[in-house]
Amino acid sequence: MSEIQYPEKVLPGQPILPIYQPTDGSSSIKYIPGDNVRLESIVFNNQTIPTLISTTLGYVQITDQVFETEEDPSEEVKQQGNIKLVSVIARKEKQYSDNNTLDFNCRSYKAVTPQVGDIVLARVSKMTHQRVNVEILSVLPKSEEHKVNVNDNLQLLNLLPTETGEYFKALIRSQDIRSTERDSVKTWDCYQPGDIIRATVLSLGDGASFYLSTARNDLGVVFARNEEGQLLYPLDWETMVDPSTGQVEKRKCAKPF
Amino acid sequence: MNTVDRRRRLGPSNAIPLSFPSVESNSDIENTSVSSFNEQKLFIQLSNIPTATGSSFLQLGNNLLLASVYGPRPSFKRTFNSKAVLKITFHSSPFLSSRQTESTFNNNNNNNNNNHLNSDIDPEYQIVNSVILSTLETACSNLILLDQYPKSSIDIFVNLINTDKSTKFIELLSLIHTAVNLALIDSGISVKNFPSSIVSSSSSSSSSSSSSSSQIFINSIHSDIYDNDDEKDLQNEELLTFYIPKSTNNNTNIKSTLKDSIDDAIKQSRALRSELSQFCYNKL
Repeated sequence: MSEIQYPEKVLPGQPILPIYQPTDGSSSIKYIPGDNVRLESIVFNNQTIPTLISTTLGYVQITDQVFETEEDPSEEVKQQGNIKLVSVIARKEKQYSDNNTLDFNCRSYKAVTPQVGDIVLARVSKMTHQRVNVEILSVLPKSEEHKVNVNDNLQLLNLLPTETGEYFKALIRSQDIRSTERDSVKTWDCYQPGDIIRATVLSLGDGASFYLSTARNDLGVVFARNEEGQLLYPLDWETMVDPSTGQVEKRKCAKPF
Repeated sequence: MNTVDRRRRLGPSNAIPLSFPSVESNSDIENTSVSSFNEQKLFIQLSNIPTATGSSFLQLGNNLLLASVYGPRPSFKRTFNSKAVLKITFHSSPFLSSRQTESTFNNNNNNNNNNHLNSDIDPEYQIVNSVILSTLETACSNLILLDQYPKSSIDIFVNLINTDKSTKFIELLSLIHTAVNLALIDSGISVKNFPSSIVSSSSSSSSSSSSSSSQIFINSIHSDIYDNDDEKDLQNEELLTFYIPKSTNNNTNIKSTLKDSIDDAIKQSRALRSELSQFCYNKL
């Protein structure tokens, strides 16, 4: 396969690649826009070419697009390199990597607004019978979405600005908490205020809050403490336990591994 | 004395009133140090405010500017916003505001005395502020991809720290825009293209004969249309905003010169952009 040529570093507005790139074989590679990349039809010498254009100053990163199968979302199926995701890692984000200079996967807290379909980390702030109110703490980068506990460090680096406690507010309706027996969900058996949960953004919601959902195996409580402040560990998807006392509490847990 | 200052407002009867020595105006010094605005060296520093998403500091001669971008942060409006809301605040150091109005008035007076030798009359301070804000708002809302940040607000602060009398308002305007542009690039917020802003004084014969250099300010990006030919490619420029100061002499053929001056400005804008983008690229 011929080596694809693309710029290493890009400026905003700089074309990166046309979306289709023919290869030596019969199949062609399709590129789809990822973070900080938009698709635009540019006209070059009176010829319209659909092209991926960077929207920020940063490094180009091209990864294989990972597809989820319908039956089991956690099972990753890699296409044979035919579809690739092009994203630009903004300049700032690199300096937040800890040891390896090439490891600039995590977005910093810069310029993150939750989008529909994003996986977010949120903290439960208020509960009623019908809904759970949460605050979105962090939006997980697209590349990290499929891994639940990556090397035991949750990606909290892109924590949204907290200096004035201004988080995006969101709510989870009781029907969206789990995928089975949606109508008989007791919200207090699934979450408690203070729990940190993984959820996906269903819609932008109304003026006040986003709508989230945890109706998937990999979504739910990832971090919780009981009334004594002891850390709880998941037993199964509906129960968590405090190992020191053996006390069991009910939570809707995210699939840990 | 008794009848005049019965309440001793002026202090004891033998008090000597304070007298200040008259300050020598340092306008001579300023005038000697004046060089052509476009030939001065520009100093740029990016990311100098760690808490801001993006920031830039600019120095050109005596002009000091600080621009910072915060956001996108959640906006707590009751109404649903599918786009980000832009808030732009322009702040000039308090001692500058009086000085600037003073200087503009002085300029006006001088102009009148000198029989319109310098026909560029800077707008008054109240107008200055509104021009800065409106051009910035137009430019930024055209530049930033606001759709990508629903329910958020992006705050842009511009702080004019210092300026001098020799800098014309329109030149200051382009500096302000350059500072904001660089802060936006630095912030990593999604923008359409690499912007650059420039003041160009058209050097067409008609305007030079009447000794008025009609200046025009543009802030522009490259459009999505590209051309191999450089001359042709000049057409593919997208103006974000522009500002033409009110000229005093009733130039009737201003429309015909407008196109020329815009073309000229685009050329200069391209040149500046290539330098700025090179600078940003090397910073990466």
